[in-house]
Amino acid sequence: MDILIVTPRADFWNGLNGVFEKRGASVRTACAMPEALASLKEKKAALAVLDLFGGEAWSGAEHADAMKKAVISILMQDAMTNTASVCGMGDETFHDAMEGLGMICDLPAQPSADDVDDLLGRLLVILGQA
Amino acid sequence: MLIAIPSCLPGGLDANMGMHFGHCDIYTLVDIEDGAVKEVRTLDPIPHHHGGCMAPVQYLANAGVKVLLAGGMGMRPLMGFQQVGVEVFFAGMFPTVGAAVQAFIEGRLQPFTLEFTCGGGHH
Repeated sequence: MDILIVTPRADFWNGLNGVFEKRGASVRTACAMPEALASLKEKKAALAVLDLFGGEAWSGAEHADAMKKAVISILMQDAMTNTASVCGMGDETFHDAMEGLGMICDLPAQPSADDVDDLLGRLLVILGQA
Repeated sequence: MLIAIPSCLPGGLDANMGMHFGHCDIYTLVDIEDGAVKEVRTLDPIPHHHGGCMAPVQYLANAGVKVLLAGGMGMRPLMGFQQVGVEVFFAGMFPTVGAAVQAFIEGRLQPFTLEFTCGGGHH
């Protein structure tokens, strides 16, 4: 399965490559949304991981607005693309702020290998490959 | 033309509308021909995982559904339906499937636009 990570910190995600490899996922990165949308247009992805803020602390409304805008731009291009955010916004905020967007989950701002593995497990269930 | 309506059990024209397509009890499928109901049958829903709201979209499209009459839906599945060529109409004000179908036949339903979308991680 192909996964696109939108992130300004590719080095951080390189450190998690083993988790993706273990799940049989191939990963590509884009440094910002314009590049991500162009990449998705060229080649679909099963999952877009939106690490838009590079590990910054969750700011609330400002980050929520930016995240919603990013997810909607992906859905408008291809609603079949699954998405997950990397914000550490908490479950209640995630439910309220991202409602209706059909995102899988929100990861902590500094996701661990276990966090990523859990996300990939959920993705496999959605894809019917678990 | 095959239309689908999220329904409460047992489905059919006399059943209550299921107010959310992704979590309904059952789908009622109605085949419309020459402005009249030709056939009514039901279709079981499929499991809905968090974030997996495209599965029912693809499921209904694969069943040959061309139109969906819905009371509630999130933005993602609405966009998904549009992208797979299924027209969605808002029918949240009707108590029964039959009333919604009749309104559709009479051209009284509005397209389900983004302003009608509801949310929730459950959607």
